[in-house]
Amino acid sequence: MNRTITRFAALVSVATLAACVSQGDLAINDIDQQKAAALLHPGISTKAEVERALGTAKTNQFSSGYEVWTYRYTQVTPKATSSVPVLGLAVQGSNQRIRELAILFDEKGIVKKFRVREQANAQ
Amino acid sequence: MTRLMRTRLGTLAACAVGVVPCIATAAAQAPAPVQQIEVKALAHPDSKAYQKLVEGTRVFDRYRHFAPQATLRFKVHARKAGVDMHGLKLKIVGDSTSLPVTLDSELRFELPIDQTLITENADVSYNRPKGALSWRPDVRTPDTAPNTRRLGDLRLECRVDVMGAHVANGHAPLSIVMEKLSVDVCNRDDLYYHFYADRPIFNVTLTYGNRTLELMSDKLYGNDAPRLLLSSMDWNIVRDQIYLMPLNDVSWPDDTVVSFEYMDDPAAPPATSQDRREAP
Repeated sequence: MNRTITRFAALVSVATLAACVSQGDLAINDIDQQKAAALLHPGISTKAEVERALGTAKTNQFSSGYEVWTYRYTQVTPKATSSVPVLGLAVQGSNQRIRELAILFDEKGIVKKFRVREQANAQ
Repeated sequence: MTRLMRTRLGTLAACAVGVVPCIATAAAQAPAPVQQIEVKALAHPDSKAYQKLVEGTRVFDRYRHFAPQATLRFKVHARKAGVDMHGLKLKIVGDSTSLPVTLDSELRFELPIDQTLITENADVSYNRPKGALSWRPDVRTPDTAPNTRRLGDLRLECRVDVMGAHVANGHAPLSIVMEKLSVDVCNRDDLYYHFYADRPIFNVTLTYGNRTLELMSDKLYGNDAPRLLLSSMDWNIVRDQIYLMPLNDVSWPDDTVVSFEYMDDPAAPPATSQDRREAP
């Protein structure tokens, strides 16, 4: 009996992991404000340096000459109950975690400040 | 263009379309005494309908529970690059009377309510070319901390505009239909009402109790809008001030504090707790 339960739990875990979907900028997958601070130096770091380290960002350019670069990483994981036979049909859904690194460049193209934002939602 | 000018042009246009009926009508009537015509359009090249703004004040009273202590003003912004806002003058112009509008240092004004001007379908005219300005309601509860807004004030702003004043370009056709159906448009998931911050923003945070939420980039700078339409938006030249709010999310009460980290502020410490709620 115990062996059956163990096998079933393992099956559920594998199914859950296999269904995990990620997209976006892998470079910021596990970044937080502290790790970003080691990478980005306000008043010093340039756009070219940031792009070399993190890749191409989504950019917002403004008439002031300022720019905001945004890196975004999204991970969607089905709720554990979604993988359980019968119960999964009744209780479907997923957990979504979004992480963003926003970097503000001044009109000279130098990092002015940055921010790591994180949001977790269940759907 | 004032209502008077529109009427004159409307008559000319009607004659141009149906020349024969116009001539026939003129010939059949006795010569009328010559009337003095004031061509207001030359002095006031563009305008907003006063009655719509007055309707905005009625909506403000109807939905006051969102912000019981707040006052309503309207605010004008430059809509195009290069528009000089110095010396801007607004005036409510009716057929028999007119009323100057006093702008404060942030180009906001309280709307005077005048029954004669309402009856005469007056216009709020200004001394700038057509399309030079964008307009927004400005609802503020007194003594709100600097660099913050109250979510209830913003909920009320949306309603004053979308369900009454219709000063923001782009929402009127949808909202007019919805209003007729008695739908509270600002409570809908599919309404994207763009708010203007006072200065260019870098981060916007909602706080209620110990719960916080930082807006993601899709809620900032008009990033939700299709690129092709950006140039037609009211806020295209101030995109760095634009943000969206979770107006219909009742889990954020009206007293939720919306705080702004501006681009020219020193970097703020990150929010201490993240929003972990389950989305509906």
